[in-house]
Amino acid sequence: MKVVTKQYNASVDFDLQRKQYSEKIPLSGSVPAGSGVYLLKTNVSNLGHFKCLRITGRYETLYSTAGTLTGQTAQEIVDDGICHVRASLQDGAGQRIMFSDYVPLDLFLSPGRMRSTTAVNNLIDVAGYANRADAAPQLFYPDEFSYTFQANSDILLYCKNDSNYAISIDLCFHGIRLLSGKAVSGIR
Amino acid sequence: MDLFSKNTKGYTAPFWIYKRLQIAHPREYFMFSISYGYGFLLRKLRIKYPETVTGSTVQSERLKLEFFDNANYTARQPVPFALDFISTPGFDGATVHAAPSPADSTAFNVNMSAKPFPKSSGILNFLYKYGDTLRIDITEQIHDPISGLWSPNYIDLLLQGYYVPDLTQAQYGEK
Repeated sequence: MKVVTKQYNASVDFDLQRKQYSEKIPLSGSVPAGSGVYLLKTNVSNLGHFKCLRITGRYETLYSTAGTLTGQTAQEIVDDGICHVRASLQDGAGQRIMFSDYVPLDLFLSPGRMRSTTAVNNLIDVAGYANRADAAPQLFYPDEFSYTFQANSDILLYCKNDSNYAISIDLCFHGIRLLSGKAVSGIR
Repeated sequence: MDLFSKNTKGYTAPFWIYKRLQIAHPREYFMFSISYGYGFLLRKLRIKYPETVTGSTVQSERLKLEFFDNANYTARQPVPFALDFISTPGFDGATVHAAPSPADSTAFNVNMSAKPFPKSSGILNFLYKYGDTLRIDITEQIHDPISGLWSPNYIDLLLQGYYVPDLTQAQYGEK
């Protein structure tokens, strides 16, 4: 794009802005402990199609000691820094499978692991069995994922959690909302 | 073949191929058959593997990769090249942990540390024809004769790419 030399046309720009604008669609949820397959989903809404360009996300790394390490009777939730959740993405319209298998979240999500206030070792060492959790990474490296999700469809995320504690995950789909009448023709 | 042009009729879709390999030989193979009617454009490759193996006295951080078009046995490079030439090395703190119960047996009952590796990777843009088998050979893993263990013992591969329709195929009714 020739930023300096290009002459902008206000009416064209405004027309374009009314029809297309940047949007981010979140997908959040908690995957139950030991779940074989658990479905999280978000809706694209009938406002218009959604041209996804990138994916980011984060997740917790927790498990429950249940008193097994120190003889405690109460359940203790520990941040062990291990990626327990795998996920598979699917386009709800047409059921198109986009991952060949369940992919561990640490392989593709940025910023990735997040600390949880639920963990007893969130900020301090817990004498006897858990060191303070490592600092959560702050890398931000959105992954390319170019795909157009249809208006009024769902984005499906099938998850597996092999931890014995529920794990919260958040994904964000970065893209462009396509609002033009032509783009949503036949939808509304 | 144009990835995002109108010629693909909107059939182009991202497809990520994931596999966890258990290392047990000097040369390990990753293979994936490309569907008929589609080419596969491999954009990026992510690899993560444990830096150290419990009980082993050796450590391997110099894995090498060879990309093949299996249909005609054509290598995509003159010699195997080191992983860190195309991607940030994936061994940063990625130790393997036994999965707590209940574990998923399809993933060898192990998990990787969630410690991040900078997910920076060169763009490969390798295009595989329909019906071909995408093949990657992995070498330079080390066998420890004392413990009998391989280092690394597991490798996570994530191939990020796109299925691109080959509209010359009869199933699309075009040419």
